[in-house]
Amino acid sequence: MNIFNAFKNRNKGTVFLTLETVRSTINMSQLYNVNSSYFPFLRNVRVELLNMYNIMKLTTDQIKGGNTLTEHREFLTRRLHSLLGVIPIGIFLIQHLVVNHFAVYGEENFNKAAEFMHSLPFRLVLEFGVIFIPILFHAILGVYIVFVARNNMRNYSFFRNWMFYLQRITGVITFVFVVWHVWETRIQLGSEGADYSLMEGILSNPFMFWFYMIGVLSTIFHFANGLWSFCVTWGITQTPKSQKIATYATLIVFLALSYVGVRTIITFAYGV
Amino acid sequence: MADNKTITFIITRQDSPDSNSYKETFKVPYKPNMNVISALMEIRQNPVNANGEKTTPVQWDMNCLEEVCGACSMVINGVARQSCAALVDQLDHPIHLEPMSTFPVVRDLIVDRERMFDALKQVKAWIPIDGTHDLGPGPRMPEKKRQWAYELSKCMTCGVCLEACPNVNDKSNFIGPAAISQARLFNAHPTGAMNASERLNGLMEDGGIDGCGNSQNCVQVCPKGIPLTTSIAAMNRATNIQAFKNFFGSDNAH
Ligand code: SF4
Ligand code: FES
Repeated sequence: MNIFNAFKNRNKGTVFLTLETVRSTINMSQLYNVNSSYFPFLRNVRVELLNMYNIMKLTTDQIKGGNTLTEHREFLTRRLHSLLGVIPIGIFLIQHLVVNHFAVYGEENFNKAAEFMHSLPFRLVLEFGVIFIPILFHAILGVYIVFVARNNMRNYSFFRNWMFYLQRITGVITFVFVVWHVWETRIQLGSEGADYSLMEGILSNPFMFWFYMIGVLSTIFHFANGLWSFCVTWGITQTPKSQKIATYATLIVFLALSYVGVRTIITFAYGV
Repeated sequence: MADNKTITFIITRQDSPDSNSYKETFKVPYKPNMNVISALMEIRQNPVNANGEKTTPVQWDMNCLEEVCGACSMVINGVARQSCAALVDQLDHPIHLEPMSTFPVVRDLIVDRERMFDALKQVKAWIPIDGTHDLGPGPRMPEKKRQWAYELSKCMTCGVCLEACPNVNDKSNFIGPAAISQARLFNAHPTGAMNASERLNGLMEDGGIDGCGNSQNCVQVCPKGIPLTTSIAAMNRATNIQAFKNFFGSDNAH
């Protein structure tokens, strides 16, 4: 039923208009809108309908108890995506880089640290809850986010636009790297833990050395620059000044973590 | 300067919304201080292309001719801006004119910016004061706040920020920066603040504020110098708080 029928039947008792009725009539009136210069009243009708729709929508929302979770699914998914990138994934990344840095203090130290991490209680729960599931969610939604962008640095070559682009590039590289890394050093080993000699074996191959170098650096870049976006997405840094200082702060995070990661890779590869 | 100096324009044209686009070159006699629109007017007077063939005049949109209405936005040498404010002397030659690619083309350089108005509807970028009786004067606004809110009110819905945004395109439903900033403007108004949550909920609907990926092109290209990225961050904070209020409940969630 549309509004026109409703008007026709108005003498036959009460007429109920649903939200959908009004919405569909608005859509219908949009069809006529091309002629609105000939029929100015059609534009008025449309404005009236829009007002009616807004009022009805508000009332129904209030009866339903406000906007519920499902109505803002896209918003909440994107917020979750931003949150997961830092908690827990970012925190895990820092921990992972720092623990691996034990390699620099000798094979024995590294194996002890790796063994400790490997023997944590509830390891599988931790791995799935803190690492695998959040990363998978972040990565899959991330690929979609990469897909919907239309990059335009050629005409708009501003610093932040480049960061925007690099964030997407490094995201994809990180995804490939992490999949390979998890396969090689976790899934393939079954219930065994990774040790120094395994990493030594992988990284003394020059191809894998550079693969890991690029993988680790793009992961750290993605995290550090992501931290900057996180501060904007959660409304922490609002002013241009605070956003600029956040740029420097995240640059320091990038440099510091890169040192930790690169130093470890070099130890594994060259034993120094 | 020789009298017969000409300016070359390479214009991307399209005869109807569904037809294919093509490029056509025009040579326009140079006049000192001319802008892109005055050159387009020359073409309209004498619609002959560079090959000397008679063709249809190039169509474009304009109104104020002083960078206030936003109607004349187009992509000039790769960058979206107002053609009435684009001085020929300051541009690289030949001058390339294209319609903004984010919007459906109506004809030649005219685009349909309807999606911007839909976005304003989504975030309810107005203050509802119509009623059946006189509501009396509204609350006063602090001068400091009025000053920055005034900056936001300069938006002319020109679409340049949407064109520069990598996340506003046919693959995404993102409403773009302009409407987000307008939601902030009306939420800052003491009377508008009474409906603040409706605008925030509008921003949380599909295609809303979450579509922003922080490329920050918008703030660089906005001809009105509107602090769009500050608005986006401010609305990020406000929508997050609103989301918590919606979920956990609050007497201030209205
Ligand atoms: S915010 Fe600036 S660039 Fe965007 S539509 Fe408004 S005036 Fe144009
Ligand atoms: S004609 Fe109004 S902004 Fe150019």
